[in-house]
Amino acid sequence: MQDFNVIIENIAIGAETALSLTNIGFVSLGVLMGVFIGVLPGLGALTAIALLLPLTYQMDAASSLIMLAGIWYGSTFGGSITAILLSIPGTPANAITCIDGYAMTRQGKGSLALFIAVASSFIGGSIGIVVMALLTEPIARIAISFSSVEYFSLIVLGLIAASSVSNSSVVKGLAMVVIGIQVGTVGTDVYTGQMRFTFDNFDLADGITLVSVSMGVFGVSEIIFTVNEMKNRVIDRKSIQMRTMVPSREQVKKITGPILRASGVGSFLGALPGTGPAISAFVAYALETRIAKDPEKFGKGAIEGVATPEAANNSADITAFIPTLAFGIPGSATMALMLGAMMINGVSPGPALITERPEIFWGLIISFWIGSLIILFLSIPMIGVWIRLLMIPFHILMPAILVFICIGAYSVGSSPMDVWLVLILAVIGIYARYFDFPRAPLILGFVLGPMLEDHFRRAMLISRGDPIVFVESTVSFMLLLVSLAFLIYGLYSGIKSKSKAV
Amino acid sequence: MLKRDLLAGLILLVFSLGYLSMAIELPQGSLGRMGPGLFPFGLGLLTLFFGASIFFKSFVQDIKIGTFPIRPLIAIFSGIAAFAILIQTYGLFPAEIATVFLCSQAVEKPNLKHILLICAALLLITWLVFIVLLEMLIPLFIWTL
Repeated sequence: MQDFNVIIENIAIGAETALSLTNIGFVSLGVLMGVFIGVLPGLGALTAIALLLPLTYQMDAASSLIMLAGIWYGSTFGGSITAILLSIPGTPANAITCIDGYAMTRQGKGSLALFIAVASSFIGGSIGIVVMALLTEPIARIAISFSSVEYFSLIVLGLIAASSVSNSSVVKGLAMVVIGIQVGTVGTDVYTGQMRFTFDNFDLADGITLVSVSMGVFGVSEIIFTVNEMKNRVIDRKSIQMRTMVPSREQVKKITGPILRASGVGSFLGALPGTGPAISAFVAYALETRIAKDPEKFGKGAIEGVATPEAANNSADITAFIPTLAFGIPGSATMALMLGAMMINGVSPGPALITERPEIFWGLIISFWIGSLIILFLSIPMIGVWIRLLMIPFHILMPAILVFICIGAYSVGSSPMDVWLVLILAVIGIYARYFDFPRAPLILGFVLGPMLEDHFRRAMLISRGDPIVFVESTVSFMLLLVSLAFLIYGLYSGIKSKSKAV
Repeated sequence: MLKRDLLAGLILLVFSLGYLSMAIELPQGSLGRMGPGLFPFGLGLLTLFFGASIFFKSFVQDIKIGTFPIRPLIAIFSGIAAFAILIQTYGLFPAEIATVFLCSQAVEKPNLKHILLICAALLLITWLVFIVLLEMLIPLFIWTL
């Protein structure tokens, strides 16, 4: 009972932070801007956070994190809008939603599909929040006992898991991780003060900023490849009338079971490294098609087909914060960006955060919940606005987005160097996009790279240069074993899918 | 005919060699007392290995290379470069206008009316958001004679 009281107390601390008038304002602003960017083609949650990150520099840490959570929530919802109305998934996590969501739109039930998507996201998210509130603290207690040896192996596991569970080849995923770490080595070496890879340029001494990396690698390169692809987007306005939006009692009954099951699947898979929201949505959908009495309805506009992936990916989105906050090690590229944003704002995630800055941790949890409430009450009524935005040809908005990218990069340090870096890093993004390399692992490598090097060097100092320490510690040995399993699985499934294609 | 992974592997190999040649210049130290160059050296070897395996695997299986969006690339790159050059010499508004005009050339037959409209809206929005609301210290115009 003691623990229960502590949780209630903590929720009160969180509510106090999150429910202040300014913070509600920031989360609303974040959600609206997130949806705005999320509905634009090719620009998902990653770009939205990167683009709006500079806006948070002037705020205090709690407010800026709360606004970023809102942006992230909003852009995810923006992705659902395009998935349902246009069959264009905003993020890979929305890909499954396209199947039944777009089918519903063509049957004239687009607004119902949107409402179900938001409602199931809300429920899935809420369940994820409960799981996160209960589990993060115990897990952080384990993290305190970790030394550099275990941390090194944990980061290796995170990096390998994230690059071997993607669609492209494992070698390409790993190459992008290492290129990301290499980009992170530019700047001053923290141990010796030696300049590395700076080309004797003083502006590079502090290293490359996360904003330049994410905007160059994701934003600019994506725009270059998509600007001439999508010109006319036609939406049947009749399918999105407000009257047909609210589901009947019978329909609510039908989707309750699937939402609860999907939330369980999502909460579990989201907390593991490598298996993020996209895989959760896929697994939950596959599970429902297996256990449904009439599986043939899926793919033809079944409301369960919208509810399941949306509940799963939202609960996974939330529980992905568990490793990010407890260990300070993100499991996905989006989380890596959130982690970077926290560090820029002077908050270092990890086991100490929860005990030392409870108002940030619990404030974040409560603001997640408020964020999804705001989507429900603020974004849904604005559906008409989002749709009008969707119908503006992309090439008209594109120059404006690029100007924002430039200002965003420049404002980080009032230095044109950061703008040039966007250009240079866009070359890597274009290389990746053109030759079919996954780009998310690069961000993860960039954020985790300095930590990886730091822990490796510290472990080597303690062991006097003997790498055997990584297998001598049981925890580290297990983590490396799991990494190896991921690697073998990735290589094996890569070979299998290739032989199938031939 | 150019093949995709063949070229991708080659570029990664060249990149890795460049990175390695810079890493070697740094003090290496030993495993017990690692210098600033040892970790990057290991990273360079890794990408070299990945580049080589992509390169050699391309002889077994590869696909034809896709079309490259050369026009958007030139337009957008010059737009961003213009911003980087103009922002500190002429100020925010001239930089924005140049970026919008150059980036708009990414599509065939850009519409001048749309460009002017976007320019006007953008100047207003950035002034409101960055200067009035966020109080950033970016000069709007710099008059140099």
